[in-house]
Amino acid sequence: MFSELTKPLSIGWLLCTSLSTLPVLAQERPGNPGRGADVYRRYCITCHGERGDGAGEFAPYTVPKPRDFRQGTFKWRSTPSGSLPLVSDLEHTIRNGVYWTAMPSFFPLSERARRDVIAYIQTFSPRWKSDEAAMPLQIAPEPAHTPESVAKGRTVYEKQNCAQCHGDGGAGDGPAAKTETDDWGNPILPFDLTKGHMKGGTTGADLYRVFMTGLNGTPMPSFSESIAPDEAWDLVHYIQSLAVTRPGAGSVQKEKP
Amino acid sequence: MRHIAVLSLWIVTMMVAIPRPAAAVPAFARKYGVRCTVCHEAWPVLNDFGRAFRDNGYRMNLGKDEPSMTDPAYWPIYVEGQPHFGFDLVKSHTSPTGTTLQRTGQFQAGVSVLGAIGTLGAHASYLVIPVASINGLTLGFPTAEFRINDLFDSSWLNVRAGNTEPDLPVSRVRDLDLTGVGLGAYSYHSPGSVSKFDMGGNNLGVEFMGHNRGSRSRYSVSVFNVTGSPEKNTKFSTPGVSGHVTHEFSPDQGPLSAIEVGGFASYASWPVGVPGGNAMTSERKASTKYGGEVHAWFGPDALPVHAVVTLLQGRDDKALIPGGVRDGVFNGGFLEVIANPRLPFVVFGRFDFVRNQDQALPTHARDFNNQTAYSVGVKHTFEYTTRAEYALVVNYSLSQTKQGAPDGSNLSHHSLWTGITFAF
Repeated sequence: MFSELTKPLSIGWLLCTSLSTLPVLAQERPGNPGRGADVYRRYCITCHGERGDGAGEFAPYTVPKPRDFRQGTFKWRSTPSGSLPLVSDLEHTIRNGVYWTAMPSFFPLSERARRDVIAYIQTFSPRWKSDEAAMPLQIAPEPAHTPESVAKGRTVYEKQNCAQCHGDGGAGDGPAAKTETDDWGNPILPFDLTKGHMKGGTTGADLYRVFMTGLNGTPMPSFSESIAPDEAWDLVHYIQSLAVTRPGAGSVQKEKP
Repeated sequence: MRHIAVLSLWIVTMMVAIPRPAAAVPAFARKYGVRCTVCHEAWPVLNDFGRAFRDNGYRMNLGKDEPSMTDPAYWPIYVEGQPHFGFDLVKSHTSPTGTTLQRTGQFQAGVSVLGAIGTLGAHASYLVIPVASINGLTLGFPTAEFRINDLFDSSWLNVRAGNTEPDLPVSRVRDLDLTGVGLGAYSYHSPGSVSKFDMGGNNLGVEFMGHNRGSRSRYSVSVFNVTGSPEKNTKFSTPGVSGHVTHEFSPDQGPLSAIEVGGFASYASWPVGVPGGNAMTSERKASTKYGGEVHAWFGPDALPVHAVVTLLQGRDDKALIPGGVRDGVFNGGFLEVIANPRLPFVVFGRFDFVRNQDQALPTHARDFNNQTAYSVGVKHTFEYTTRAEYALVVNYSLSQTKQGAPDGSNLSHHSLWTGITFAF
């Protein structure tokens, strides 16, 4: 009897193996906002709210506040300051979460589910229909991480007055730290750069991108007009050198492709 | 004799129904500001996100998991309750209309749990259930487990010690069915076997487990002392080992949103029985089970229809069956379907079976003690927030046992469960 039972199971294995090749064949497809609404209601609504206004039931207890999708203002982008992000930017945020915030990593969801919820998020703001798609930032190749580069980065840090918000040691305790607010008037703290893990990602390129595009809706500006690409990499290396490994620095899920 | 048989049936039913602690944990909802729907396909069944969260040692891994990173006012405590009305009808089928052996209907407290769960540090997690009861009777086997996460900085090596939930295709702890019927293949043994090993129950031991990012590929290996062993767990007297591996695919198009395949096996020793009596000897023999499963999720990712087929084969050494002339072999499994047409509403059903292949006792017909069970139910969650939830459940099941009645006729057991489940 068992041999009869194992036959359908074997067929199932073969079927699954065949189906596993489908993602390889899949190209970038637009998400389905209808399905995305269900994904949104299951996973996102408690913070971002039913109407995408960032006023979900848990929003009062979070710092920073959840994004108000109606504004079309997004922090984590590869596009110039003030512009909409690319779909791949939103995918990056949803997939990896935002470190040290209430935004978890939704990596366990399928790619299709993430694509669908992005399509739904895009229905909240008319900007997604009216604005032209912006070109992403071209990230210069990373030079070698040397003591000289770190020293130059410190100079850039001082010259650009980063310490005003992030403090001399990068701990987020600059003179302006306690009075900063986001575009909606909510208090916002400059990030503690000594945590060793940045909000927007774990790689040097993630950090580079933040300098050069800024974080829309926050006091963090874009330095693309005032910092040259090699200086930006020096600044990346300097900030990476500020990381302190200490107890209670927080557990981190390593980002992998 | 009849009363003893009915009482035995009731006890077995209750034993199957008991181990449900740690089903859903509102403490996590409060800590991370998420609703139950984030981690549960349909509470208490975990979805991919919830499984990854559990596999990660109850951590989101975004720097805010450790106790020192949470609000001092936060306490990782949760409470669950299941007040309900239960109705049971047990019949033997000596005549076409059947003979009623038992008919009971009463309001019951159901399972109540007071537990605590969370992290102790960046790489340590715990689960403690100091108080768990069923219908007011405190369970004698509360849960406590300690887990070390990411040994050698790898998610592929985690260790959990204690009285742990086994890793199986469908967890009995996370079963939507509340009648306690079904998943019988996990605990089944060949007729006459003295072994009481239950593959679906918690066992004291150590589990090694690992997973990739997102928990799409996973493994689990457990070494344990079989719960209920004659030496009362005072020593490693009845060792067992079990394992489970799974891999999930997500087709990017078509009606299937995900497929998961897996395989599992268990080996559990037990003192052999003495012919003609219930006494045990010091000699150990094993009961084994192995099988595989396929999960398929159809339709939208967030509101899927989830079907799972599990097939297994079990074997009890003939020495475990007093008077046995050969090993007892049986096949079993189940088909379960969970549909989630809209978010707070769930429909579920399951078909279970156990079929004996080789009877150890020559006096038994091949189909003696074959079992079939059907279970259906609906669950509607009225409110679910980041703090609490409560739901109405209506659940009916029918189990049939071939020649299971005291007079040797077939036995059927109808069970109805209707009531409220709540957690906060």
